Amino acid sequence: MLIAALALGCTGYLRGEGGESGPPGPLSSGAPLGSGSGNGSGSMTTAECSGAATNVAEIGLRRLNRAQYDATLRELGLLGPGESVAKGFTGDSTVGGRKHGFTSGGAVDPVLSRDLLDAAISVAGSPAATKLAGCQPQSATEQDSCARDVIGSFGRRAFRRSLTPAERDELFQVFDAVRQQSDFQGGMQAMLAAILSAPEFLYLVEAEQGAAGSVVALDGPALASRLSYFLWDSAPDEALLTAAEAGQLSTVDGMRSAAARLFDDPRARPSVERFLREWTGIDRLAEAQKVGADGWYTPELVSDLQASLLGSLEGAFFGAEPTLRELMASKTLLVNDRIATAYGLSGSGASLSPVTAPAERLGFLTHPAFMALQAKPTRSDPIHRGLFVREQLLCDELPDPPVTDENGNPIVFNVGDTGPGVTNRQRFKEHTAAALCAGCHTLIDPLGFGFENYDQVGRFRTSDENGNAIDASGDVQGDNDATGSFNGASELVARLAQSKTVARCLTVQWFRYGLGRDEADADSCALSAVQARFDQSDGNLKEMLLSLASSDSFRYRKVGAR
Amino acid sequence: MTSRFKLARRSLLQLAGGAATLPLLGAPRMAQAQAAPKRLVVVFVPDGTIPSAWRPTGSETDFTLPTILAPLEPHKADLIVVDGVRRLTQGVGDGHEQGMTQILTGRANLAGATKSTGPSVDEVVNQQIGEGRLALRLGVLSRDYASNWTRMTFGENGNVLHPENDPYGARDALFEGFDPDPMQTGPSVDELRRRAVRSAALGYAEQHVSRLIQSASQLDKPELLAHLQALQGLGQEPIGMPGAQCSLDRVNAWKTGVDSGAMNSFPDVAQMQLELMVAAFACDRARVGVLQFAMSNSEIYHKWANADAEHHGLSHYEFGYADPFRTNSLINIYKWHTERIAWLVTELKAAGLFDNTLVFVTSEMGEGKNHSPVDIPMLLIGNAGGALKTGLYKDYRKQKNIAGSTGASHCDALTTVCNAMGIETAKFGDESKGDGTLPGLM
Repeated sequence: MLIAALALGCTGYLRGEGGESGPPGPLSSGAPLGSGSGNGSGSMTTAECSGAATNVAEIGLRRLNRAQYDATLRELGLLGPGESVAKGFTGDSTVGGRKHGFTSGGAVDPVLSRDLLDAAISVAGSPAATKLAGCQPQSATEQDSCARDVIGSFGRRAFRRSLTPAERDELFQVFDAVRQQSDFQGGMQAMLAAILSAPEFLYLVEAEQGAAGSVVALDGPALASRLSYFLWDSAPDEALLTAAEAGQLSTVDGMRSAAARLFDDPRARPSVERFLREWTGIDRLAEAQKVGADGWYTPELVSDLQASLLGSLEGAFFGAEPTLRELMASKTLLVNDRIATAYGLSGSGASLSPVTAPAERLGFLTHPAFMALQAKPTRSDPIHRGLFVREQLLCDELPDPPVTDENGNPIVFNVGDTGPGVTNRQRFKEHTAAALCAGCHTLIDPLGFGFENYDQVGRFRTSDENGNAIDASGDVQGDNDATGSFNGASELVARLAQSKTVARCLTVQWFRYGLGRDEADADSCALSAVQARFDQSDGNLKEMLLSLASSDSFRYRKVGAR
Repeated sequence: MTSRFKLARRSLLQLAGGAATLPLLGAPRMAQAQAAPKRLVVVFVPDGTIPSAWRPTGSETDFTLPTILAPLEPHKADLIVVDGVRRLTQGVGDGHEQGMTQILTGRANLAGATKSTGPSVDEVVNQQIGEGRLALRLGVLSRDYASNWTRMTFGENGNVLHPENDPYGARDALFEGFDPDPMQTGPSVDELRRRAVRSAALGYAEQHVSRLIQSASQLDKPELLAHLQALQGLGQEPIGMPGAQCSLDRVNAWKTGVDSGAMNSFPDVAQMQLELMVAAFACDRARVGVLQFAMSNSEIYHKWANADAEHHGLSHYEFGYADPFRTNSLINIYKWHTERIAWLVTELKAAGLFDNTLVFVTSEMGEGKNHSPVDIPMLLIGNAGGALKTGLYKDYRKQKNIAGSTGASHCDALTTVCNAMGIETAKFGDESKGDGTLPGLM
C-alpha cells in the first residue's frame, strides 16, 4: 500500500506498516495521486513529468477474473448471453487486498486450477465449440485442414495475438495425438481445452523484453488486450486485433481513437456496470439484513432498488451529459411503483422510469438503495457512510483501527447503548474523544452524521429511532478542496460534485479497476496528466476514460528483474 | 455452482451396471499399507467467542463445560480446552485480518491474502502425513474471493490455498477416478476419452506455464510456480486404499440443488462438508482436512441457531449489552458450531477413524467485541495416537510468554499440533513469537 496522503489529522498506524502495537505516530505524507491533493500540495510538477515515459511502475502478471473469463468466452463465441462457467470459481482477489473492492484475478491454487481445467474441457466439448469448428470432415486430410484452420483463427482470438508456426504445430500435435486415441471430436476437444487451459489465455501475458528496469512500449496485441479488458472487460474483437497488429495503437492518438470506438460500442456497458457495482458495493444489498421493515422491504424491492441505482449511474456514463456532476449529483431518480410506494416518491408502472427527485435525494449517495446498503440492520451507520466518502470519493487511505495500545493490551471500545433520548452522535462520542481514535474519526464521523436523515432502509426521516430530532449538520475536514461545514447530505453531495479532489479520486478508482492494481508512485505523472484533462474537459467521463486508456501507465511497462 | 457446465466427471460415481466397461486401466496407485495413519482436522469458527459462556469452571482435570462447549460433553475425556492463548504475531490490517491470516501460519501476514510469509500448519502437517494426498480444504460460505478476511491457509511458499465452498464440486474432485471397488468395474469409453482430453490439456498447460516461468520476472515467478505445482497435482493419479469403512453412499445420496452461495444453505452445506470429510478419511483420500465456517467478520444470519441478527454485528454487541436476548443469540451461534464439531467427532469414532486423529478448533480472535488478540478460544480433541494427554482444561492466562506478556503464544499451539502429528519441531512459525509446545500436554 502506498498512499496515505492525509497530511493532517488522522494519526494512527499506516496500513501495511507498524502492525498493531506501539504508539501511534503521524502518517507520512505520500504521493498525491489518489488523495486529497486538491490544493496541489505535493503534486508532481509539469517539469518533473515532461519528456519520455520513464516513470511507470513494474507490475505483476494479471489473470482474468471471473467476469472477464466469462466475457472472454462470450467474445469467442463459446458462451451465450447470461451464461456463466466462472461463477463458481474461487480464487479472485480484490485490488489492493481490500475487503470489498474491484475484483482482480488472484493466484491459481489447486482448487482453482482444477476448476479451470474442468471448465476448459467442458467448454471445449460443448455444442458451441463444435459449431465454432464449423466443419464435418470425412477424410484424415480434411480433418487435418479443419484442425489447422481452427488453430489459426480460434488460437489467435483466444491468445489475443497471432500464433507462431511452432505454436500452431504444437497445438496440431495435441489434436492429432488425442484423435489417434479416440476420434476427430476428441482431438478437437483436446486442442480447444489446451488453448483454454493455457497461461496465454488465462493471463494477460506481456512479453518481458529488454533490460531489467527499462521502460518499454507495449506491443500492439498487448495494448489491444489492456484496452479491451479495460473498456469491455473482455478480449479484443477482430477489428481491434487487426488494428493492433497493423501498429495502429502505437501512438496516443491511435489508442484514443480505438478507445473511443470501444466506449461507443454496447460491449462497454458491462464493464462500466462492473465498475459501478464494485465501486458502490451495491451487490451486497441483496444479503443485508434489515429489521423493522417486514412486509414491504422484500427481495423484489431490493432488486428494483439495485437496478434503479445502477441505471442512474450508468446513465451518467452513457447519457447525453457524461459528466462527473451527473454521476455525483443527478436530480433524476429511476422509480417504479414498488419504489414509489415504499419511499413516498412519485412514479408508477412496473418498470423503472425517470422522475425528478425531491430535494433530499440528490445523487446516488442519498439514493434509498445506497443509504440502505450503508446502514446496520436496525439503524443508520454514520461511520461507514463517512468512510465511503473518505475512501471511495476522496481516496483517503485510512489506517486500520488499532487493536492494542502501546503496551500490547487490547483496546476496549464501548459504543454507548442505544435507548430513549440517545442519538448516534452521543453513542459514538468516544470515537472523537479518545486520543487513539480521534485522529481518523474526526475525519470520518462528521461526514457520516450528515446522512442521519436516512434510516436503515434508506427512508428519509426527520427524527431518529429514539425520537430525537435529526441534526444533519456536518463538516468536511482534511486535505481536499471540499472542506467546510454543511447541513444535510444534499449540501454535501453538491459540494463533492464540484470537487476536483473527487474528480481525481474517480480517475484513480478507474485506474485501479482498469489496470487491476493500485496506483504506484511511478504512475503519478501519468495520472496527473489524466486528471488535468478530466478537469479541462469540465468533468467529462468519456474524456477521462480515453485519457486513461492512452496514458503512459497504459502504454508502457517496466521490465522486471529476472 | 449452479450454472457450471457439468462434466462426465460424475460418471464414475454413478457408473451403472449396464454401462460399457473396459478392462481396468490406470488403476489407482495404492498407498503402501501401513498401520493407522495419523489425521488432522482443523476447524475454524469466526469472530471469537463470549469468554464467559466458553470458559470452563473447575480445575484442570475436574471441570464443567459451559453453554458454548456443552455439546462436547460426550467427548469430554478426549478434549483439551486450551484457554489463555494470545496472538503475538503482527502484520497488516485490523484484528480480523491479522487474526485470520496469522492464526494458522504463526507469522506476519501480507496485504491482500493472495500471499503470506509462510505456510499454514495444515499444509506443513499434510506434507508430513499426507503421503502425496492434497489436504481437503472445505468452506461453508467462505466466499469465493481471497482477502485477509476470507483466507487462512497458505502453501509452502506462502501462496494462498482456497477452501472449496461447493460440496458437490469438492466431492466430485475428491473421488474423481476413484473406485471404491476397483475389481468390479473399469472406466467407460466416455471416461477413457475424457481422460485422454484431460491429460492432453493438462500436459499442454503445464508445459506452457513452465515456459512462462523461464521468462518471467522475479515478481511473477512465485505465483506461476504455485500454478505449475497445482497443475502437477492434478496430473497425479489418485492415491488410496479404501478400507472397510470406505463408503460413498452418504455423499452420493445428497439432495441436489443446494446453492452453496446462498446464506440459507449454510446448515446444509455445513452438514455436507462434514460428511465429505468423514468419507474422505474413511476412503483415505485425505489425511488433513480443514473446515472453515464462513469467514472472519461473518455476515451470516444464523436463523437456524435461533440467532436474530448477523454474526459479526452480534459479536460487537451491535444491538447493545443491555438486551440479554441478543447476547443469547451470539451464544446460540457458537453453540451451534460446537454441535457440528461434536457430530464430526462422533462420526469419526463410529467409523473407527478417531484414534489417530486430532481435531484442532480455533477462532481468529478472543472476545469478538474488541477484536481481542488474547484468550483465543482453542480446542484440541483426540490424543493423536497417544501423543497428547486429554480430558484437560488448560488455562495459560497467567503464563509468561516470549514477549514478556501473559498468555501462551498461539504459535505454541501450532507447534503442539505439529509435534502431535509427528513433526518434531521446537517452534512453528515466527520463532521470535513462540516459546515451544504448550506446557503439560505432550
